[in-house]
Amino acid sequence: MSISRIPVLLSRIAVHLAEILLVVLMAITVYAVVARYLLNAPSLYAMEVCTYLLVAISWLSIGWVHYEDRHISVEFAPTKLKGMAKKIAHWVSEATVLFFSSVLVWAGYNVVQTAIEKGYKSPSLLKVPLWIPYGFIPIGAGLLILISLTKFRSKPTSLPEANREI
Amino acid sequence: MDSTTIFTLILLTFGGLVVVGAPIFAALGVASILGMFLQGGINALNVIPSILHRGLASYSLICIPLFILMGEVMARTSIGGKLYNLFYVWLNRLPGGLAIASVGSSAVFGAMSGVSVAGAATIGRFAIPEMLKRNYDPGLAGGSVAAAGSLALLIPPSIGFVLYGEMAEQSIGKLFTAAIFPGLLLTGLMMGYLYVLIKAKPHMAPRGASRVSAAERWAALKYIWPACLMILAVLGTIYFGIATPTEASGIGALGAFLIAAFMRELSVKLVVGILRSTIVTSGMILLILAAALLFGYIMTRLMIPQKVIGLVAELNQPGWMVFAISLLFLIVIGMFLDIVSVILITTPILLPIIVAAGYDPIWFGVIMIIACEMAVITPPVGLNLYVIKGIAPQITLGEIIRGAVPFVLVQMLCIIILTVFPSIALWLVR
Amino acid sequence: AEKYELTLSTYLPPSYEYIYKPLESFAQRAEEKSQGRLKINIFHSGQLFDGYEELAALSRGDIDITNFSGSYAGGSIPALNIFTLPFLLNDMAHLRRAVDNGLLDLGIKEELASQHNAIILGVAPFDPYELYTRDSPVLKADDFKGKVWATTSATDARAVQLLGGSPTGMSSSELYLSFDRGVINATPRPLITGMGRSLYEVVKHLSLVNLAVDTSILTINKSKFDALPKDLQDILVESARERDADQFRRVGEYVKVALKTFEDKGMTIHRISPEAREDMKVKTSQAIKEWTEQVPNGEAYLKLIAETARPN
Ligand code: NA
Ligand code: NA
Repeated sequence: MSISRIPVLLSRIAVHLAEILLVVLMAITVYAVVARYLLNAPSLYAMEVCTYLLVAISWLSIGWVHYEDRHISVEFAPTKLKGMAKKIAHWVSEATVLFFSSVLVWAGYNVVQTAIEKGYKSPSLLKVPLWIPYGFIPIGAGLLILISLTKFRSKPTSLPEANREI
Repeated sequence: MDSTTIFTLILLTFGGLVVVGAPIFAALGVASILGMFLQGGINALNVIPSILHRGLASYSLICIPLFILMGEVMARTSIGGKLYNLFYVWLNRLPGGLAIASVGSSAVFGAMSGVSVAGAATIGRFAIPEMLKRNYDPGLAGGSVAAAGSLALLIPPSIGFVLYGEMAEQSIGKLFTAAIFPGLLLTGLMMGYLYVLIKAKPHMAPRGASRVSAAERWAALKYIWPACLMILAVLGTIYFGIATPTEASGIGALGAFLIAAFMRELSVKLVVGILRSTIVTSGMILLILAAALLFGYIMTRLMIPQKVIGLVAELNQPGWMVFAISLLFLIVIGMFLDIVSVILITTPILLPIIVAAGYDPIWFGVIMIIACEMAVITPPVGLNLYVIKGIAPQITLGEIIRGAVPFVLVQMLCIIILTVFPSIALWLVR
Repeated sequence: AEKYELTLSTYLPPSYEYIYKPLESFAQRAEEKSQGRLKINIFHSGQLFDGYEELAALSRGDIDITNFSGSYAGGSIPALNIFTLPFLLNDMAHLRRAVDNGLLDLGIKEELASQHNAIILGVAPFDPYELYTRDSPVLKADDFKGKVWATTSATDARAVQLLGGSPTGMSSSELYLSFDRGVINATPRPLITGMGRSLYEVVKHLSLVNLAVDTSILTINKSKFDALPKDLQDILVESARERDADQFRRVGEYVKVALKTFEDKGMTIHRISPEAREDMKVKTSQAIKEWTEQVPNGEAYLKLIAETARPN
């Protein structure tokens, strides 16, 4: 496997993880109802855990979504422009993603560090260290950077084969 | 740099990036970053993760991936298709029948969930392909689901009313009750608009060529039990106090899987595909939703909406004029802000003026929520538009916007009717 | 003279009058006293940050002033849970005496300044946590059992657990629908939550027991504060003191009005006997013990609370 496949591989692993977490999210939501209504022993943690799962799912998936070209955009430039103009539009668009995700990695890293340093924890009985949910932000944005870098070199029109995968 | 200049630069940046084809989330993000930087320097950017986290770590949003999962199961098995076949054979003589049925489905979904993007994504996932399959105009198919998805906000249960109730010190129960008839009215108006539109332009929604026999119609009924069972499972758990609306989305998703398994339509490959596309759809929706919050944050921080709404407070005009201008401002602010920010920012400023002008605060809550329904389908920040683009990539955003914007006028008409006949909202709570 | 613009953020809406009005007057008073050298912009209703993020945002310098709730920050700063430990504070006057006698000087102020770059300007109360129950009232410790309780923080959840109830974490925005649908049976919250969230429509009983007194802690970013001239610092401190007094006074009034409103709306108000409260206190003492083990100076806090239990 060539080095250029690594970004895609990482995003693929992340999206698989997100899929598993989605099933877990569904299971916990239903479990919360069963525990309360049938077992009369409501879960103290279900609600909080579910919100962290949602956070994880969101961030872990975004790299792959970009790889599949499924992030929503206006299709004016790709369809109406030609030649150099089209290329420039593609670069600017990719640079936008790259810039945004770089800021997310930078700021996300700062926030994680602060959360560890200052011991931020959720105020519930779970006392979840907040650097964990915050940590998904730089991870997700990092995946996005990697995918975006590989896309810089690809031609604006070419759709990755992933589009047809399923 | 003054806040108006910063605001202008933010808008120009966003517009420019969108036009060259940058993903909406990134365009919103970069424009907001520029604004934050100009407003507070490089350190102001450290606030970004906190806003994004707050936006996503929200319990009521859990229903988004779970309802999308449910919709995905329905779309990839025969559950959704058979439901639409029923609509097709029963409504084949009705102009725009399937679009009208989609509005109806969205209204039913509205009774299950209070989150408008969930409505648009879930119903749209199987309704839009069914409409396109029968040669409906893409803009009509996408636009009507984008607009009707927002009915989830008005038809109880609704997160919007819970929020307004707290801000306005009004009874949440009364707000829910007051919204029932306006919700039905708006549903009816949307259906009426579609009927009139297709009467005038039949080519947008071709009718089935052949006549459908009565026997075929009754036969179609036999195949919709899975869809009915699922709807009953979700509505039943909510209304019998077994689950909260958020939890009901998990029950809906699991229920869809169980029914599909019982019908022997599930395979490992299919399940893998369902999970993958649910994740992709949810990921893109949630990311835009979070990026829109960055946009809302910097606008709030620059005090743009507060200043605009504050101007209304200073106007010395007769009551109805104050109301009309407030409404106009709500629509304009709703173009740029997410609905939570719209309610949080405008309620404390507008409500006292509206009440002083002699209007009822419960009634105004209903109006406020209808304004929020407009906000989710007006560009540039119109989440439902993007959701539809996400689940139906074959339709262009331009088509979706053109299809959805007339519904803003329908919502406007609904507000006018409620203004002339406030008792539509108020008679149940008086 | 140089002008200073400060950003004040609160997650509470203006409709929560007994907290919002004093905060607004604090800002106005400071502006007036400074003769225009201070300008304080208020962002309310969580327009910028929700309650859980206020302290972190202040610490980063995103905002300059906030009045965060002690219970929301209790996860990060366990000492702040002192206010919501079950049945520890008898009432709001008790809180006032404890604070006036230096409760915050036992470590909380130090920790906020050194760890979170924050200076406490003042402390004022929420009205006490009382027990809302949907169908049957709580009159004695045993009545906690068999009920699903929506809790806010670790301390109230632990108290419910120790009393044999089933706690489940839930934000206030979910309360109405959950009660309405019967998903939960009870919740310990202040009266202001019940009013703000229309709980009187979905809950039949309210038991007055003073489970805890949550606090609204007025805080300013330390770097920002240190950069202000001494006279402006004094103006802020002085205005904050007036805010505290204002809020204490308003809360007292509010409780009377709120109880009357609840009764008018059809709720039944129960007053739990001192003996029953004492019994609950004994049964939840484990929570206080656990807290003491987490907080370095824990015993000293408890000693001060005990000493100020009665007016002298
Ligand atoms: Na709804
Ligand atoms: Na909008």
